[in-house]
Amino acid sequence: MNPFTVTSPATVAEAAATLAKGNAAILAGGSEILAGLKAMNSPATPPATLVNLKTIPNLSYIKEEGGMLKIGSLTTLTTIAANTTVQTKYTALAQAAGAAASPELRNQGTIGGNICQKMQCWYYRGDDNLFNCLRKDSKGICYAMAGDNRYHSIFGGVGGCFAVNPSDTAAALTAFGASIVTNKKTWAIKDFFAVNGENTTALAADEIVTEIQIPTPATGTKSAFTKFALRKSFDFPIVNCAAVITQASGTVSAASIALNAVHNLPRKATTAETSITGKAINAANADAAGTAAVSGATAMPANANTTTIGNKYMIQIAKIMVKRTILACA
Amino acid sequence: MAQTFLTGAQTYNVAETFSDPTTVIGKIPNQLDHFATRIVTGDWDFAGDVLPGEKLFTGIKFCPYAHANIKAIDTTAASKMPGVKAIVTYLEVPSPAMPMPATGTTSEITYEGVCVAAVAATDPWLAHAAANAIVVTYDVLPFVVDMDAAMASNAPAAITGTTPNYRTTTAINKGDVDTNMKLADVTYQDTIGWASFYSHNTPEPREATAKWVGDELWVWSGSQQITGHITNIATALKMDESKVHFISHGCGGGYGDRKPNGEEAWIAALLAKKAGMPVNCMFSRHVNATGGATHQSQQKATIKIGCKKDGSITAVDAQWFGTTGTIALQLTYLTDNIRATGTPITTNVPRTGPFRSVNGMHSCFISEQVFDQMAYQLGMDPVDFRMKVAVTPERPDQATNNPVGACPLKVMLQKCSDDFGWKTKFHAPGAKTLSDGRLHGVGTCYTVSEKGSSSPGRTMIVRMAQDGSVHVNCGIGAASSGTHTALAVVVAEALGTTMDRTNVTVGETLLAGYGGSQAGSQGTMSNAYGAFEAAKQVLGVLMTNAAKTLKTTTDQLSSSGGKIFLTSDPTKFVLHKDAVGSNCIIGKGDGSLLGGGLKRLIPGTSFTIGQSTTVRVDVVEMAEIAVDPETGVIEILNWMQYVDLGKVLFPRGAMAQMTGSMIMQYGFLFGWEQLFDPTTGATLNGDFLNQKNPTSADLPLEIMKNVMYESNDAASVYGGHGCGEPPDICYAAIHNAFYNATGKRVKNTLMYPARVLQAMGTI
Repeated sequence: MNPFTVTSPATVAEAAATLAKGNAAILAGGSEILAGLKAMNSPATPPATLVNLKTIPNLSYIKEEGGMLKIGSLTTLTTIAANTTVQTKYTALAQAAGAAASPELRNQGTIGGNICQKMQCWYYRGDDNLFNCLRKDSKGICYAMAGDNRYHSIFGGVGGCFAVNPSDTAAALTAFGASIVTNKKTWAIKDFFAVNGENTTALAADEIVTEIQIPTPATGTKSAFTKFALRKSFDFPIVNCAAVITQASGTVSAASIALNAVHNLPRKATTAETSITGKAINAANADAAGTAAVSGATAMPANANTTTIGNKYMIQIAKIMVKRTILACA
Repeated sequence: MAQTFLTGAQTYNVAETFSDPTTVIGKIPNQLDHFATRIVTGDWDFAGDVLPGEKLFTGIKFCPYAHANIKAIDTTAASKMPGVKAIVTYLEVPSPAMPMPATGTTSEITYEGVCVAAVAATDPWLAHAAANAIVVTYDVLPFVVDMDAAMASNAPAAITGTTPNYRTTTAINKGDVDTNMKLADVTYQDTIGWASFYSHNTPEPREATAKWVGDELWVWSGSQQITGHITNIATALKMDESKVHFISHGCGGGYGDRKPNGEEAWIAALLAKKAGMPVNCMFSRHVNATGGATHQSQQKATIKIGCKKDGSITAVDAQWFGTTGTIALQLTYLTDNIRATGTPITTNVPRTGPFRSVNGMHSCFISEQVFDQMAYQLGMDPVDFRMKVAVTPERPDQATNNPVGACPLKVMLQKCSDDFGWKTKFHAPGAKTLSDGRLHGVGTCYTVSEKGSSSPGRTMIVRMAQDGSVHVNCGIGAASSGTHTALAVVVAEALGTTMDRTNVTVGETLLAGYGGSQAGSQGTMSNAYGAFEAAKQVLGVLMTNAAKTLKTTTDQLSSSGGKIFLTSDPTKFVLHKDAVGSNCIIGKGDGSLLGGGLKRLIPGTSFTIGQSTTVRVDVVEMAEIAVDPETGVIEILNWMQYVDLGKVLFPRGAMAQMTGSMIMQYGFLFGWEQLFDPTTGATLNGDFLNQKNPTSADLPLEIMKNVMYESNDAASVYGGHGCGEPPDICYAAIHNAFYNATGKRVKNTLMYPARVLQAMGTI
């Protein structure tokens, strides 16, 4: 880890101005930025300045206002998971926030940081830039193509990269059709995520997330989030899924289903949404929707190395997660 | 978690009656060291904590390749960085007693993570950056990290000039296997693998702090064998052992890796010499995960069993790949005709080293699945089959032909079966589905382990001070929970003093006698003899002095609770402190200072206490699981193990060891595989996130049940058996339960959902 200084801006504008000078990075909860600084996994010049957003007032809140839920970007995952309003009306988000990382990290980690986190691909994260992959160097390669890709994309790659987006809350926010407010603009969630060098969002270098906005669900709407990981705590998803489903007269009138950790970007399972809409929520229909959700999925090549298990299983897991998330909305 | 005692259940070679009834043994509710709590809270004098503000920090330049030759190394840029005080390269690191790559004897590196240079600087992050500024030029060589690939005819040489990468030797050949295999009514053969394990992901990675005072070297480091460390350090640095002082009050987990081959001490010592300042060398998590520590490499075995219809074994024929795994075969099953070959295989994965129940791990895992399957092939209940083929106490040890101590394997199997409710839970493979759609299965596994025995040659120093308090000095490393307390228990019991007046120091070569290696779960059992002898010598002096005061003879006296009294009239007594004060063995007023040897014969037997073949630890395990057929997730519903611990000296410590062992089993089953990139040979998951250590949320603690089975034999002082490692190895019970649930086998250690789904044919 290289030496750095920490600045304590009083306003978002002041923070953005420091970022605009370059060679600086945002410090919010800190778990993401410090892990990267310690690992020195990037060949890029490490930031000489960390801009501490926690000194900016009024960036941590949860409130319903103007027909939407508004969450300040510095609101911790623990706070969101424990909020009664979120638990009741935006259940999938509360469940996603409560499923991320570990209790200690959720106490520190923020919703803004959770949706801006970088890939967990072990080739990207290798200490001391062990693998100079194409997300770090345009002349690099995606090592996962011929390597151990058990946690990589089942829906193809973007720009040659197969590293997945690891955020738990991103799936919920995508299903809810959230908007992301920054100091520059308001992003529709579908445009917010991107394969952008080492970043997973389309944000500019001096752009700071300030608020998350979620439209209030229609009457009769239920939501749920499921996560499949190898550990029950302190683990990133192999697959996660969020569903926001509105029912009328015993059938689904509207469905919004999102998968994450299966592609570079959070993925709307539109085929699953179509499959379940107009039908009752039951095991058979949910299973059909799960099957529809993975209709375009493709396993990456499994290497001949006998210890490499490939990622074909992720297709099965994604199918089942969609099925079970829909059933949880019944 | 349920934990149970079964006391006095078996009597074979009966132990000496040292003290009966005991006053301390088995009655201590709390341990003195609180080892685990202190480790995880940082409340411990780790090697990195000493000399605060005085020492430099080390950055390691490691080789990122699995196989390479070093062509050139340039430290110019690093040496010019501010704060850098010293640099050593692989050319300067002397060859240690246990040869390793990159120690100046060779420029060929055969696995990732080998240290090729190290920098001492004023700040750990500066040292890291300076290490990265060292430029090393390599010839990258072809590599192989997979066992099967290494055995292919076109495999690259893992070490230049040493093809093929394997050699086969005959490990054992008893009786007439070929003839008796033909006499079998049923034969069964299977091949089962055992994955590479990134074994030593301890909270504290390998580290050492070194300081020179004149020509004497002080080293602080975690160690399982402190005297071995000073021997190797002195050899490596070409100095007298008497000038090396090693202090190891504790480390963040031993488990076989804190052996005397730690180059961290040599690196720290050399840098400290160059810099003229104390230096701490702590490996990064990645270096510790690769070349910095040792690991367990891939294994597999093909085992063929022949049986009569009644289940009796006619012959066993086994081929082990990786290392030999005959331990479980020879120690557990009744067989007169057995043949086994071993084929060690060299690959370019980080070096293999000891880890928890060496060889027993894969030996039991593979054997117990093949034998389990044989039960099904015979149409027998797996418990009944095991009852048929289990070794018995009447039979000499099949590996050594020595008489065995307690061997309650069949008794424990029956008791565990009753306790578990095996007969009501067992069913045909795939025959039971739970109401939630998951598949139900039960499995069992047993083994006889050679771990937990005792080693000869340990010495101990026990000193009673003038105030009657007792200090025990033991030259063993403090690598495990409970060591301090278990030794204190023995000394307090033998002396007739109390635990609160008994203090144990371990891990200081300045003070202690030879404590041997804290390995094989032998530490407490072995050093207990030295402690017992030394304590008895102190007690002898106390008795003599007290007899004078009480105007009687020593045979009329007893010692308990810190005083010596007339056995016939306990109101007439002398406090220990009054008995010690005027007639000390070494110098008036210095207290009593005595050493105790270990080796002596067990009365009535022909073998020596401390021979590692005299003690066996039997383990029986049963498990009930549910398998989610859609996701491959396995939930353990009930999990029970019986372990023959001999006499339990320190119940809480023993329970902690058994619980820890079950937790380790969970790690072996669900997350500890060491994964290598097939295109570069680099380790992919050398961190706490990607090596899936189970969390407290994962562990089924509420349904884990440990039963401490107390057999009675002459295993060691007071009849104790070592208990850390034997309970580690019976995780085949979960695999066998998986077969019972699904009719399929994963055939490799890790029960990842992916592997489960593959085994079930879902994907």
